[in-house]
Amino acid sequence: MSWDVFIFFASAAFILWAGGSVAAFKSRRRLALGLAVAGLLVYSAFIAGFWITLGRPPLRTTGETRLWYSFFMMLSAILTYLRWGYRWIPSFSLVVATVFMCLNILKPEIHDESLMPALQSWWFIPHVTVYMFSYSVLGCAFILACMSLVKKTDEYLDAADTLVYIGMAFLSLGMLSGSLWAKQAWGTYWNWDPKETWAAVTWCIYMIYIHLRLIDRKAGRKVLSTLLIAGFIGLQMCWWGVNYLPSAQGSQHVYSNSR
Amino acid sequence: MKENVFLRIWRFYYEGFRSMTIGKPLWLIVIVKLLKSVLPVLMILLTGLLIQALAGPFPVDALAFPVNSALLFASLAGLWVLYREKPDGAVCRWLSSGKTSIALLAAFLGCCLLLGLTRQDGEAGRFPGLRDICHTWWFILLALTLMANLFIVILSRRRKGARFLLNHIGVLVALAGCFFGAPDHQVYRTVVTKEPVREAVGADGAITGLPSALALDGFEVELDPKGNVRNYISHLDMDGKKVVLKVNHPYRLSFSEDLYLTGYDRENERPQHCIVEIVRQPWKYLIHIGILMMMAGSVLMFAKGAAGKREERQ
Repeated sequence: MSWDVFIFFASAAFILWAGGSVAAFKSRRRLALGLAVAGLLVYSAFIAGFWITLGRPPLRTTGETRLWYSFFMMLSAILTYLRWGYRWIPSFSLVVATVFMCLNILKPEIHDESLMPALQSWWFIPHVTVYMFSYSVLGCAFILACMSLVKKTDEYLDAADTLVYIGMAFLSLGMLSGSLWAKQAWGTYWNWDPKETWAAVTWCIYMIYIHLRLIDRKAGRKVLSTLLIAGFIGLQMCWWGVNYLPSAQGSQHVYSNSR
Repeated sequence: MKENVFLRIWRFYYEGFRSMTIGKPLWLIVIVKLLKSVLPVLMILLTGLLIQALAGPFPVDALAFPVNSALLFASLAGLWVLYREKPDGAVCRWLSSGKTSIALLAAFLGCCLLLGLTRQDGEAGRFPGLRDICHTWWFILLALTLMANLFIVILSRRRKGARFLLNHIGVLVALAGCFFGAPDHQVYRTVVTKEPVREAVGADGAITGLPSALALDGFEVELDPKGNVRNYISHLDMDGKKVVLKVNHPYRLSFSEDLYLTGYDRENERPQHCIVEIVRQPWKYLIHIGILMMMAGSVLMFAKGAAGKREERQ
């Protein structure tokens, strides 16, 4: 299985998820859950087949991590919907997931060579999947922040808190596992490599959010939402933005064009 | 033209502020409240900038063991005595305040943004040191203040439960290991061939002796079907002892030193040499403990979530 057939799996998953999102919007929980899970199954069938064909986990290039991002985005959206009942969360998440699926169809960055030596470690799978999961959870928090700005209401902030706590737990685990791996692979825990620096930027932004929420219960919706949006931008910088930064040339974390 | 636009904007806000009635004292309160936690942080950054201008970059090498350990111990002891004797004094009140934490986090965030947006390849000696931020006085003073803030916060809220303690002590321990351990962190490189070598070269050109002679016994390169390098393995001879060195699999040389395989002779089909790094980092255990504590804290953060935090508060 390769990127050539991704479009069929992605379309099938999209149709199922779109049905699920409409069902969620009409508050038909069971139907929404069933369709979303069916979509996740179709989508994970592609990931599994792709993994087997490659003979290595598809986690290396940005295109491959986008594959997981769409998956976790829909997974965390459906979990958020089931837990808090926000009817529109699956629809918004579907838009984000679809953007990333389309990017993969149009620009898959095909690399079917095997993993380079530095990535051959058992840290590899937990480090990247934990990050992808946290990105998607924090992506949902970003959607809630945008909604609270648009609708001018505080009602989403408690749900955003919960998402930030879950997302930060996984973001921290990703960063810490990364530093343990860096010690094993490169000899230092932290090297201020551009990707690490932007991970620290993102981590600080969410840390400020958490502490502001704890210390100042009157902190305004605008400030909090702005922090969540800034954090999400930091995530994007960290994930793929650094590849385009002039200050990040020669980063240790660029694998896509290495041979 | 440009100046006019800026002038117009300035005048707009200036006139607006002047004609404000109820808003004015409110704004003043906001600014004063903000300054109370932000001003000391700005002062610390300014002090750092001033020292940087007068004395040049931070003298990392002068603080090698035992100076760094003594400084760490003395500052922790000093802060502890201060907290015991004058918990309500201005310094302790400022250091234990949550707003201070936010101001420090924001300043640290600013430094990280600078680090992320500028190339870090410059000479440390230059003022203000933007091309080698990690070795500037202002960055290090900020990090030290952040650690002091963490320490006092831990002391004053030590009964807040496992999650709080694991996360905060973990960050403090890891930061202390990184910053105070930096002077003792050294990396040496050497090219290993069939002939035994006994020396390695540091980043600054300093030559150090190896505890035992290294020689290359054999080198394997694994290729995948397309001809890309999948893995490389170096067989070393250390004074008669056989050692296998691979990427991601460092060899423990001693309490503080590890050997890393970082490169090899790519010119030859049968590589004639490999590059080995000797990393000396005696503080790695402390950093490791800090990281593990934070990982445990993160698991608790996931398990308890924000709801757990709300309960704690009530």
